[in-house]
Amino acid sequence: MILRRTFRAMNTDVELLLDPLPGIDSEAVLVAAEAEFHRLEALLSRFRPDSELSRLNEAGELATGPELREVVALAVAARERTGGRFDPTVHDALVAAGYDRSFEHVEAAGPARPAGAACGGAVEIEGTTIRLGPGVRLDLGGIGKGYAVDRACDVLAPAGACLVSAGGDLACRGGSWPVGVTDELTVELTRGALATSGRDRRRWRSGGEERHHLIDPATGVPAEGALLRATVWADTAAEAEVLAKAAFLGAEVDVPRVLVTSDGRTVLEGGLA
Amino acid sequence: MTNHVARLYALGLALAVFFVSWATVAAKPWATTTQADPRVAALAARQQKLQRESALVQRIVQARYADYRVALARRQAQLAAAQTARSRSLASAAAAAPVASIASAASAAPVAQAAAPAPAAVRIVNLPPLVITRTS
Repeated sequence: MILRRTFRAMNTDVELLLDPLPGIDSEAVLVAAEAEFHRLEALLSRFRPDSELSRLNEAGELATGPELREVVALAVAARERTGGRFDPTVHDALVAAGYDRSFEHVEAAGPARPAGAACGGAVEIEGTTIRLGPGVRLDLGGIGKGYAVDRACDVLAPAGACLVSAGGDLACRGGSWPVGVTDELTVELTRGALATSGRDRRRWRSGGEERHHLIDPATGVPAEGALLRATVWADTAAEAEVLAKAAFLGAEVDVPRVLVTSDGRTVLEGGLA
Repeated sequence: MTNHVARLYALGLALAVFFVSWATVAAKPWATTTQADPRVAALAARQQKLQRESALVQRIVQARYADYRVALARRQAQLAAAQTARSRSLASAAAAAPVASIASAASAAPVAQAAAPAPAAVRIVNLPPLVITRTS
C-alpha cells in the first residue's frame, strides 16, 4: 500500500509517496523527509531574509554550509553546460519583472514597472566561501526545489520505493510511477526525475503587460518563444529542472522530453515512446 | 326437555350463522383488487438495472486493476534486474578503471552524455496518472 504525505514548502505543494518495506516506521521516515524539505527551504529561499542565500545576496561574500555551496556549484556548472540558458544570476531580473516576493503575494495585476536586468555575473566558490561579482544576486528557486526533491528521495529510499513531487518537479527511487504530463499523455517513470518549465503558470500582469517567471538570461526579461512549456527527464530532479528551463529557452537537450507549443501541439522528442 | 335441547341447537346454529356472516363481511368480497403503483414498479426495475450495471463495472475495474498489478510487478522485476546488472557493471568498471573523481568526470562530460538516459527510464503508458508534472 502506497503512503502519501502532502505539505506546503518552497511556495508549492509537496507530495511524498512511499511504498514501504515491511517493518519500516513509515510515519517517521515521511516526517524526516518533510523536515529535510523545510530545512533546505530555510537555507535556499530568497524570500527569507535570514536564509543563507539571502545573507549571501546581501553581503556578496559568505562562508556557507555545504548545501548552499553544492547547489550554487550545480547552478554554475549548469550555466556553463547550457551556454547560459540556465543562469542562477537572474535574481534582479525576476525582481525587475515584478517577482519580488513569494509568489502568492505577487500582485496579479500590479502597476507598470520597467523589466530587465543584466544576468551572467561572476560567481566564485573558494573553499567554504561563495563570492559574488559586484551587484550579482542569486535565485536558486527552481534548482533548489529540484535539489530538495533529490534529498527527500534520499531520505525515503531506504524505506522503500518512493516518489517525491514538489509542484511538478518530481523524482523517484524504485517502483514504477504513472506521471501525467498533459491531459492526454501519461508516462511511466521507473528511474530518475521529471521537471516541467513553462509560462503557463506563475504569471502576472504589470501595467497591463503579461509577465512570467522564466527569465531569458540573454535579455534579462521574461522569455518569449514558441513553447508554452517543456517537460524533461534527467537522472536527478535538479538536473531535470536545469534541462527543462534550457529546453524551454530553445536549447537542444538530448534527453526524453515533451514540448507543448503555444498553439497547443504536443511534441515528443529524445526517444520518448 | 325437548324444547330445551331444541333451543340449544337453535342458539348454536344462530352463533354459527353469525360468525360465518361476520367472516364474510370482514373479507370484503365486494372490494376491488388494488393495482401496484407503476412508478414504484419502474423504480424497482431501475434499481435492479443499476445493480446489474454496478456489478459489471466492478468486475471490469477489478480485471483492469489485476492487469495493472501484474504489469507493475513485471516492471518492478525488470527494474530490479536492471539495477542489479548496472551495479555489477559499475562495480566491475570501478575495479578495472583507475581511481578518478566522479564529480570532475561528470562536470567534464558534455550535456548530452551526462544526461543520457538508460533505456525505459520513462515511457508512454496508457494508465491513469498517480501524480502530475507541471510548471512549478
